[in-house]
Amino acid sequence: MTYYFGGWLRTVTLPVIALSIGLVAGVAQQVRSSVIDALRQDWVRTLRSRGVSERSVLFKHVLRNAGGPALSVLALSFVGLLGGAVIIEEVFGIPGLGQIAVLATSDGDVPLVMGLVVAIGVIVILVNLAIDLLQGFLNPKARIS
Amino acid sequence: MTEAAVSTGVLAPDVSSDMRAARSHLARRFAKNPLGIAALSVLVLIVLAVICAPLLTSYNPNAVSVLNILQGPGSGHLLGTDGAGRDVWSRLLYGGRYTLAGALLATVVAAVLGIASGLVAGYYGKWFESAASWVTTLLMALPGIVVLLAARSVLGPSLWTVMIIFGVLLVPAFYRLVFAAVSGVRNELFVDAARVSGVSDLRIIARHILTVVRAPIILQASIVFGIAIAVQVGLDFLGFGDQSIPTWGNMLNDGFTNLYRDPQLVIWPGLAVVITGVALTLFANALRDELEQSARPSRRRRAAAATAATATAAEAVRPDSDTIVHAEPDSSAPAPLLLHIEDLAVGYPQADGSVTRVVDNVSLDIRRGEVHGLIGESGSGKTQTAWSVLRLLPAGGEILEGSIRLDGEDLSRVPSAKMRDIRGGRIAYIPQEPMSNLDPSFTIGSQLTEPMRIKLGVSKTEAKARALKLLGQVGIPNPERTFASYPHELSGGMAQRVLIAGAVSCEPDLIIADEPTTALDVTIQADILDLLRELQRELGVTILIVTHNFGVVADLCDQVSVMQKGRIVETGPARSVFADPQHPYTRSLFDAILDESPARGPYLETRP
Repeated sequence: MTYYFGGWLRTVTLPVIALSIGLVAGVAQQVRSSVIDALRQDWVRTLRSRGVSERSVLFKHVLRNAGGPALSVLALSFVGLLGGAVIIEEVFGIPGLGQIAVLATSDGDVPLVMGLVVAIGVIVILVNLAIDLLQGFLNPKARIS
Repeated sequence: MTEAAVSTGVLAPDVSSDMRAARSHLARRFAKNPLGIAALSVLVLIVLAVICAPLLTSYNPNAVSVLNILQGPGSGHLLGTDGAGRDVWSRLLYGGRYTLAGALLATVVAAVLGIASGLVAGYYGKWFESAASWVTTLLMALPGIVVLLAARSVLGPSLWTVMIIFGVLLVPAFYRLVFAAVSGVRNELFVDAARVSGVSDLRIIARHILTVVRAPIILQASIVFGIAIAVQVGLDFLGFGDQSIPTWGNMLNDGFTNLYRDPQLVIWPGLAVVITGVALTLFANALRDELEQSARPSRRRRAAAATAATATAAEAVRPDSDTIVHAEPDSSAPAPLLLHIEDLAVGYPQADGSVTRVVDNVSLDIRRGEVHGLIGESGSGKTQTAWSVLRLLPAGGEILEGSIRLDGEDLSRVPSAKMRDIRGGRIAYIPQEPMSNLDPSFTIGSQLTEPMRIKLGVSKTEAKARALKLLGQVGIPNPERTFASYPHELSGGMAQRVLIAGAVSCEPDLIIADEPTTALDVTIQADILDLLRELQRELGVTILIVTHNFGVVADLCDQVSVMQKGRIVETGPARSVFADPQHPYTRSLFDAILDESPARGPYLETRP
């Protein structure tokens, strides 16, 4: 089997949009409110008083401080995305883990479905671990606790 | 016992009436939210429609008619028939019953289990709390749909069983909410008071704690309800639902099979799901907006207080009263002017079109190399004056009149790009509260070097070398270690030294220090003042120091200006203002220190 990147991109575009559109809105909402919060902080004035450019204030300092809560939203939504993928794969005919789960259920293959639950659980835990590490990178205070 | 009963009797109505007021407040505000009311009406309409299904259609939703498959809308069937010849409109109505009832079952299971366990864990804590937290974390890591697929292959296709299991998976949504709220109020005074007066735990929970989380629970329930609908529809769509009953998911499944022959079959159940989901989300959003607003009365009150303070400042401005100026001693030839503020007025335009003036008619001259104290009580406009020199007034504030000339150039009129060059380069700023003025996410080193690389155009290594030298200069014992630390690893005094190092790093002409010692311990205050005096002597920099403390002025300043209610009332050399304060306000500030300071002498045994 040969996959071509262009073809892959074409087949993946609609499913990705369908799966992520709701989450995009959620993350945008979260980023908005934490950016507003961060801009009210005293250190923003001090950075500006040092002549730091507005671009650096916003994209380097404020965004990094606002990134943590948005990442938490991502971490919490990841399980839901995997669940959504089961349905999206069925609609778009994508041969993924979700379709295996669907086929196994209609065949009554209980051990395979159980195995998938465990496998997906492990993926969720790994992704959350990665996000936690990223949180530590963004927010030095989180590294200790 | 009687006492206890009496005190509870007094306490309980008080608290609950307070809460009832807050609740009815929320309900009343929600009623004014057009989007929330619209969403709620749509939901009520949908529920009424599915309940009254027999009145709205005469077809049996399960009546198969092989002769009538895939008929278009009209033709005796309002929305046509599906792949088995069943009436789509009646299936939509009756299907709504099953879909909504199933989602309701999941929500109720999740709410009952989640609220109960959250209350117990939050109120009693201990081992139950750790066990419950473990279980909820585990549940949150499980992929809902796949677990339901597994349950379905073991237990068979039953809408109700599947929804009960999904309800259990959704328990964390309520558990976490209730747990957080309850552990928050557990130690509130009114709960303690109720406990001390012998009210039973159950009563405290029901009466005092549950009322606090009522609105958030409704909010969470509407979100969970939407999720339950989506998941249930998803399962039925995949073909794992109970085929003997009409549900929106089963209709979608049928429509998807016949997608190419009759695409509109997907549209009706799809629309039903989307409209219900959107209405639920909008309802939840409206409720959350209102909740968040009612959770912040303190901020509003603070803003009101601030407006009131500035309003009194504005009222009291007397245009005719002149500043008392003390003459310069003749002996010294005056240094050239560095900063010349003339007739400065700063104001905040209000919503009603008026402008609240916080600084009015302020003129101030600062000569090169001097330390100028700007003194006054809180709300006198001294910080606003300082911020307008930096052009960093809080949002909404603007310079209304007057000019601020730095070496002749009017800062109130330079373009903002030019102002950015001046800030940090020519004028530097030392803030009041050291800990909140350092970006918590970056090391001290990166925050010190970033401006130097912009202003002085030095390389990264050069900037680091300069930063280390500066840290040593401001009296930090281990510059290398501080350079690599994060703000939360420093003490307040250290952080203030770092901020001072940052202020002098780009060799400014003028430093504006806004109460640089107010937030520090008394012993550290003296150290910081010493440091400022030393730096001033070494670098010959001009300092405008904003303070409410005459001790600081006496310690540091050559010149002093006294500010009251947005105006400068007295100005002159510190020595002569100290020797002969003219304005009653200046005198009252002096009296305030004198009242504080006379130390009691040592106790003398040989008293007459």
